[in-house]
Amino acid sequence: MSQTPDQLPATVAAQAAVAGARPRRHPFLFFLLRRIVQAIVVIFVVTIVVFALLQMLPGGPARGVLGVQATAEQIAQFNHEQGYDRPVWEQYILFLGRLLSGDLGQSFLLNMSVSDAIMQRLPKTLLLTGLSLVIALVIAIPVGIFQAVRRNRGADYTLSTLAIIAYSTPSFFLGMILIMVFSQGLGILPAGAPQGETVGDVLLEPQRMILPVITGAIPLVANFSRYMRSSALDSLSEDYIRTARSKGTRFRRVLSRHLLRNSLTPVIAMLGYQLPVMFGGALVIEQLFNYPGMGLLFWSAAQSSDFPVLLGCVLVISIATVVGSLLADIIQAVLDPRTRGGLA
Amino acid sequence: MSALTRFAANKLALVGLVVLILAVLFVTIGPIIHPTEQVRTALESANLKPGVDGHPLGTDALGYDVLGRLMIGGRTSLLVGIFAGILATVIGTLWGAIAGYVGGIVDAFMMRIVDAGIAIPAIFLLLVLSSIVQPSPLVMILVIGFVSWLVPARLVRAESLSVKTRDYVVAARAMGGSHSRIVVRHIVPNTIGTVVVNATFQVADAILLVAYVSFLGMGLQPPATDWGAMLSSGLSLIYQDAWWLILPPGIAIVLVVCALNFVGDGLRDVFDVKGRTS
Amino acid sequence: MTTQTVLRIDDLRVRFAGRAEEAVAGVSLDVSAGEVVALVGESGSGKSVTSFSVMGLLPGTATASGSIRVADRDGEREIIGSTTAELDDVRGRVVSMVFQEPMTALNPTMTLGAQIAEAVRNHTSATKAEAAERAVELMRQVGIPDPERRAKQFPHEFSGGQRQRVVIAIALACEPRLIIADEPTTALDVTVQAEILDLLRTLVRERGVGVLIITHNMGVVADLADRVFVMRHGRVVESGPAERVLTTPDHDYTRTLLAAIPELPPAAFGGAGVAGEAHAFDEPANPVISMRGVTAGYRVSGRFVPAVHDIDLAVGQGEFVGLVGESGSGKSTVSRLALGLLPAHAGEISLLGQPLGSLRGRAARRLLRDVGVVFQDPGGSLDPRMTVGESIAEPLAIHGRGMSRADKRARVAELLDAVRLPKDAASRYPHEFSGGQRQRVGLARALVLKPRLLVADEPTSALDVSVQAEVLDVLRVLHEELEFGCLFVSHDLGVVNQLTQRVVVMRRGRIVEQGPTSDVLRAPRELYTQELLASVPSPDPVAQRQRRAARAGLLEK
Repeated sequence: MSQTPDQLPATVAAQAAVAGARPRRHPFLFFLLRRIVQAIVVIFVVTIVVFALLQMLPGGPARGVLGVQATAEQIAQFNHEQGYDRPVWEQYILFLGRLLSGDLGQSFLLNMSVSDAIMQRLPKTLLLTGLSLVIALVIAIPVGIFQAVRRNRGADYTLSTLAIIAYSTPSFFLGMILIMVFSQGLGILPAGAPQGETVGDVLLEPQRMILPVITGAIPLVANFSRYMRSSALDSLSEDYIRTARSKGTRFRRVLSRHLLRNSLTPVIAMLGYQLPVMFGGALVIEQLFNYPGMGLLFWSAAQSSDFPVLLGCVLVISIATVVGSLLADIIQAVLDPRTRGGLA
Repeated sequence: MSALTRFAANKLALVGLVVLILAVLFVTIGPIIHPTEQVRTALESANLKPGVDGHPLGTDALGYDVLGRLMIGGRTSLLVGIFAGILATVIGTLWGAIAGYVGGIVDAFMMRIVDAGIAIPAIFLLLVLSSIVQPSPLVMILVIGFVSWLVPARLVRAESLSVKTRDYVVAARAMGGSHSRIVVRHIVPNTIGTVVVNATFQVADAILLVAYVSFLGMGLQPPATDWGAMLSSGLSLIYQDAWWLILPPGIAIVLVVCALNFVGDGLRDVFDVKGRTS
Repeated sequence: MTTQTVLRIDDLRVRFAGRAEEAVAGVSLDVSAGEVVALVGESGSGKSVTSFSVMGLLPGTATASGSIRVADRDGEREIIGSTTAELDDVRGRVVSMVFQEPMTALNPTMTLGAQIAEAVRNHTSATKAEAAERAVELMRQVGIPDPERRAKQFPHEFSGGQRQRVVIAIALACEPRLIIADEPTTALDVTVQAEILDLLRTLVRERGVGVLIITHNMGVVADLADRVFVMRHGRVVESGPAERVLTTPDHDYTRTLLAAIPELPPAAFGGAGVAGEAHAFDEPANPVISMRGVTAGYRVSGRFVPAVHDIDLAVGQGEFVGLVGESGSGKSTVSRLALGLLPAHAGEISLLGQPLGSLRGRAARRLLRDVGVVFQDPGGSLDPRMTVGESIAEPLAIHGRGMSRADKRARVAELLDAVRLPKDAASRYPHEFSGGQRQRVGLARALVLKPRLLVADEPTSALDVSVQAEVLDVLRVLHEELEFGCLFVSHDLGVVNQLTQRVVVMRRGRIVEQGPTSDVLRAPRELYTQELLASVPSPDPVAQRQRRAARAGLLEK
């Protein structure tokens, strides 16, 4: 029968926070620490998943490299060299050790280490995703607020419906249509992405970036504007909006000073969840536009069963998502002083 | 207002429902009304424009009739999508409900796993799995289902937590109700709305995922096909303006996924469920 | 409109889209400078809608007609039909408002100083620095200590009473002629309420501002108001000087309203001479629940935070024991302990003669057969997906093996009758009933198995006073009939005075005083209990003046 009830009387939570049974020093630092620890735990679980996938490879990676004609001896030697014949847990420790020293293995087919291949490509993918995200937010946040203010009127319905249609469209189809219209049809935008080695090279041909970035941005606008609308609607019905109006604050200013900051918090939180989706989408866009980023690397590796590259990419991208979520949480804490106290 | 009236009040939801019914009819009865050869190639009649030779939507690079392919491909897209979506919902609901109700360490542990799963982009995971296992419809259902259950798990856990703290649940505990009674009589009926609404969105997402995977060439192998694979083969001819290879499958995907989203929104009104989707 | 009148409402009518009846059906009232006018009524009377109309804060779905005039520097302004820009100019400068919920009335991500300064900068050409200074000054005037430091803090770092003071500071920022206070103290503890009412009284006296206070609490009216308007169903049914209306009301409705208020014990402190000594009372022989030295608390992000310390209390068979305290006193924790919903960290709890800590699983659940519970929130305590009949029958389903369907139905019907609800209620759903009716359903459910102990956790706090009277009457009758022991948790001293035989006073997790109700409430020995009693406002203005004096005397100690 002994169970801790889950809803604390509001007074107890308040007591713990305000007066404090034992007041915490630097609550923000504590919050940060806890989040970092959580992120590390998540990364560990990811490494376990990746390791499990490694173990699942058919016939072992040996066959993939040496080919179907490989003799048993050649396979055994390959396995011994690569360390694939040790007990599982030992392999995992070795695996972790290699990871920590930055060694993600050697690509089976490209003539370089996996980490080199990824490092060459990752910044470009980040550039693509980053640009799409920034453009998406710049459009989605005002649109969301606009929809919330003009709730259930013509413009709101139209925009919501457009958002659902955009959300339901696979990004590759969207990209293909854009190519057909702007490249083939109107001929004003190039269909191929810039082929540079570094980020700097890529930026030398900005017009080639336009279609890929827009293709990436549109689904994001659809998603974020919906969240922003929902969040702004929630905030609009809060009491403090009414208090602000009763002071005589102009509605415009109520929106920018009171509504914006308080509605952004859930959207920033959602950003953390959207990162994996965005990176996944980048994969498709890179394939479609032939953009030399990590997604294209991954796709080619999938076509040719280059397992070290595949697994290395999965690991790196997952870590990128975890780090991204962590950043999003930090931004959220900066925006909302209540989270800094570490409540929940 | 009864449930049906509330649903019908949402015009878009009604439209969505109609579209879905039509889509199901299209892929099931369609091939009977418009039978075409979908296994043997007919290279001599490749890349014909729509309207030529009794092919209402033209033919593709291997001579297959596009309309027929749309129907057959639709079967796979819808089948895999529906079952994968339901599988994801079932796993996710159980996981989330248990985590939410039991709470404590068990909850923290279960949710860290979910966090890790969410951190890995689904498409990446799908491609890796597809390169390991030979994709058949069943495999795709399992793979997509196992990748997608994470979001419903989060959602159901949150719902379950919120219902658990309601006074009527506390009252049931104070009355001496057992855990199983509380879960069955109180928690399930009050969270089922969220689950059903979410199932609809899961099916929509699954259909999209199938399309992505097939587009990336890791889906079914020819002559089997689905809408994503059709788009993939259409891509190679994009510079030849072969729009009839690209628009039909793409529009089909958009229509069905949109329809599911509208129906989901309508169901949300019916069950009076608040909150967002994914 | 004389130069003294700051507000005049003439025949105000407000209708919401889609509703047949008007929310406000022709209300006229006026407020002069330096006076406090109270607008009283129960829920649905239209009093809040009236107050929002004056500020022009009605939602878009409402249409208002009639005339609302407020006094400005150079004449008067008509609110109805004003443009948004005109309203923006009037709000805060000519009329300002204090709202009911201090916890949500402030922007959580903005410092308090900035929120007050915003009001200043809306209507004056003050610079940021000047406005900030004025904000600090205002915080000092409303009684917030150390205002320079606190102005840089955020709302969640303040208590409810302090937040309300800040809201009042915002209202005063531009020195308006009229302040509207919409249930400003309803969400506050009674001692904090007394302080806020003091503050309002001082401000009116010192600044000559006119105040329109909306409330359902007649005690607040008696304490603060010069004149009162009583509203019902959108109309004013009676008005006049507060003293006259409250002591010799004309209208039947006012009379019923006043009669429903539970009587307060007088604020006499005969027990002060023996402060510190415990009251004498008989410990119940076979208590249905007893707690000895109980300490308990909750886990907040990993740490154990104690909520109650060293609790010694018992309820005997058929006894009616009240548990009073303000927020943070730990009284809801005690009720959870009694229900076995929370384990004791230290000490012993024995329920119906059995020690709670040692029982597990099925044995523990069987024990709960003889315990019933009623909660505060009528909206949440009944499962919305179960019919009323199913909810009432739930204890039967859990514990009553071998009862046929027909028997169960009959029992449900019996109880519906006992709580004065119609028989056909069994097949309807909770949302079809009002708050008071739902509480009676909750009571029926709690008593269906004829329990030996009933735990009632603030069962009427969310109800209108007339509805409360009915629910309590039902409770009293059933108690006489079924003779269960009752632990009645409440913050309302009047209700406790009326209903209970023994009372336990709690503060900050400890029992302050305990004894027969007549002893403790008429001759309290502890300073806290005396202060608590003195803070509760009485609806009789003459008596209230005496209470105020008594309270002032206490505070000086």
